[in-house]
Amino acid sequence: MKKKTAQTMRLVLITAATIATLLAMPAYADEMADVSKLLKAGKANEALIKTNEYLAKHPGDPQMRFLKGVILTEQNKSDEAIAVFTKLTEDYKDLPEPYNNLAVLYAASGQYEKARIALEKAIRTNPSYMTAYENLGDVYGKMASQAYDKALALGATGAPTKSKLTLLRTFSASTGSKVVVPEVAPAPAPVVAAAPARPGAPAPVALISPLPSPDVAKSQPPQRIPALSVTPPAVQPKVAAAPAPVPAPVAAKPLPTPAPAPAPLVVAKAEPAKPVPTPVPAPVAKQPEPVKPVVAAAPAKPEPKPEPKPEAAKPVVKDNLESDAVLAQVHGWAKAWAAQNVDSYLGYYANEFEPPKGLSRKAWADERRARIEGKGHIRVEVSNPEVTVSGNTAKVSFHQTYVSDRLTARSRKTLVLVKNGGKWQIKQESSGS
Amino acid sequence: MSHLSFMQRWRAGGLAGLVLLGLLGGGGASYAAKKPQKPRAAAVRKVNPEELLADIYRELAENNLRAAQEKADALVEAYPTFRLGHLVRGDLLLMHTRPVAQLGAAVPPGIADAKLADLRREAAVRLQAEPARPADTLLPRALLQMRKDQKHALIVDAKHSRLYLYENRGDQIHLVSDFYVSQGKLGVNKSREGDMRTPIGVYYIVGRLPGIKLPDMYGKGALPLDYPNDWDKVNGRGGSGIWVHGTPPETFSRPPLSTDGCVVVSNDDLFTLTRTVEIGKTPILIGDQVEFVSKEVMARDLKLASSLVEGWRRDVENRDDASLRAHYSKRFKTVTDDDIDSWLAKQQFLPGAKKISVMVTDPSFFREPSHEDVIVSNFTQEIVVGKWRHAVRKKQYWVKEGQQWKIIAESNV
Repeated sequence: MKKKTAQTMRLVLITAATIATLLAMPAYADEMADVSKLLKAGKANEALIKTNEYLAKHPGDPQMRFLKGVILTEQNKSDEAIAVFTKLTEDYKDLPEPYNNLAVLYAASGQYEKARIALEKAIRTNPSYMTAYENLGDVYGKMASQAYDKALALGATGAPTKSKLTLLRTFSASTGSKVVVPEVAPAPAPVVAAAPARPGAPAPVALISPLPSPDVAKSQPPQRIPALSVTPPAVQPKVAAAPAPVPAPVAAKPLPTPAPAPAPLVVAKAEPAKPVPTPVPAPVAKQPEPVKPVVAAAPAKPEPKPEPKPEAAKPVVKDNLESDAVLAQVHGWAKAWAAQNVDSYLGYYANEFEPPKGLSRKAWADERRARIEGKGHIRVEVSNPEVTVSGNTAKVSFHQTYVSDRLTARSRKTLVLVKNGGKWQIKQESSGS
Repeated sequence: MSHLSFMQRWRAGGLAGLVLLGLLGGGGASYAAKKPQKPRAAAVRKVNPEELLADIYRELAENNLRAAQEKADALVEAYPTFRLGHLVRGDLLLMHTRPVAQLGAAVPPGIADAKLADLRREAAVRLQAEPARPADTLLPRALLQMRKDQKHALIVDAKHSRLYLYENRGDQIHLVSDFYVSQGKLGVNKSREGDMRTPIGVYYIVGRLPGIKLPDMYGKGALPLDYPNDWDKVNGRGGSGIWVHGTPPETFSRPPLSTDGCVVVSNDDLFTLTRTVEIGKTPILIGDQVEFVSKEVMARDLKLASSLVEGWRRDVENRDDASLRAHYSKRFKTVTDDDIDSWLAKQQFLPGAKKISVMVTDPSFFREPSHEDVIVSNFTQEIVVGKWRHAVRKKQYWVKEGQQWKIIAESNV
């Protein structure tokens, strides 16, 4: 017992120190940005020097340590990189990213079993961690193909083949208030503003987002567990404090049809039969606040509802025609994505769309193209959409089901659309709650 | 696709075998009755890879991917050269991320199609083994009667790639164990040298060759058979060197149809067999119609076989030449090319004696496990004439011609 307390104490101390550093060092973000820039420019050595300088002053800083690990990985100094990430996993047990990167390093040297364990830990820390799932899929694939080689006596290939695993360059702060879907995620995900209080403001596209304090995480439990489940049963999602039905680990049925996992989370919400809102003679109590996320009719809400009809969950929409048009766009977007018609897909995004991770529009578009095309077979489903329209801006929240031959993922997605010349286009895209 | 033809050929309940119902899949029609999941007769051996494989499938059927995976890991660790184990493990690994519809589904086509097809066949026959294992009340029809001092007999069921080891104890035969075997690339019915077929018939283990003196491909040793036997020679069947042997170091087992005619077992199983068999004594019956029947059927068959030899004995004793000849087939021939006349002439013992007595002792009767009705009888014939006594060990091949059983080949051992 005592030991445990001591450990918790230490963690708290470290976090506190980090916060203190953050507060005390306004230049902190700049240093990070500098290092990232150097790294991007291929000046790994200089980046490392700068990182080491910073770490000499702030040896505990997890962000910089993480970045150092990334730099070392780039420089093919695997052993050192492994040491850095391993230490990070020891110091910050609830961060999935170091585990993920450890797995990438292990996989690169053919140590798939170790990679598998690391990724499972990453997923245990954050059950909605898409990159880890994708990477785990790759690791399983690699292990399987090794097993197949042995089965068919294809002769052991000397060096391990180049790993496709995704190395994370940044902290996505997946444990806290910010939700950044990592690079491999099948959905483009711009950084979502932390608080809904300033939804319009473009989120600062931080390459390295600061570590959240545990308090933040606690205060926003729904974000800890975004509505997402992955078919593979390998990992039992660890659920923090959700009273919601936990997706039962469904054993991957060895049947040709992918077994759909039970729809997780999203509490107290009646399923609308159809996504298209039927005109409800709505006794509008007050003007709907347009930009505010639509809250599903929770039983606790004291709003005067005439009858708790199933349709009650539907947002009160001012203009059904507009919301129909918005929904049509969203469905068209999903369709183009699923059809892997990238040109059409990209056409759904407005010129003012803010690509995630500070990418340029072109880089983002290229990345999307690379991710979407040649995926084999994919399916994208939009369900339970909720639309709010306010003038020329609309916000649609829905459940997205993404199915590829490697992965099945459900997530909550929010699109902000703007009306350009009579046509609704996507301006912002975010995942998570 | 090869998978389909494979399913048709093996009727293994489909590779749904792999998926869900592998253990309940269809077996052969030759089994009169089955007992579903009889625990294997206790044998002191290290964990059986086939049982482990069946366990994996059981776990899968219950959706316990984790448990299945752990067992597969253990399987390939214990048997690193068990290729089928690796294949199944590969599938299980993939099942963590995607559905796998059939064994080795994700093996890219074109690189090893033939090998993959072989492994699928091996899986099908191995998974069939447990449900097809005969119930305790059923006996192999081929083992009509063993000689008292024959402690063991081997029966190879070519159709199901299985070798059964029976023990003869206290006038009862018991199934000790059964093993997966590989046979000729082109199956059974060997008739000439190099035809890549395994012979069908009643043979004996006639030697024991240690692996150390053999090329790698024979594994840990070999047990030669007496192919071709008299019946084969009479039928002009060629070839030689049919052995039961082990597997080379790089593989734990070989595909069901993969040998040049030998019967191949894993080295572990070969070790068991080598310790069990007695040279020149232990019969090995190979056939594609291995039947398991009730004690009543066995008793009826044995009565028939005994009566055949008894009728023959009586006629020998009575010196009733015409009746004696009636026991022999018109096609009768010996290995030394004798016909009935010359053969019977050679069998005369003190032809001038008035009264002889003929005794048949220590008989054994085996039925060839094939579609042909062939009974092989072995016995000691003792002739006593006055103070003269003559004993010879005889082997007779009886075949059914129409409704009559006739001796078609005979030899003195």
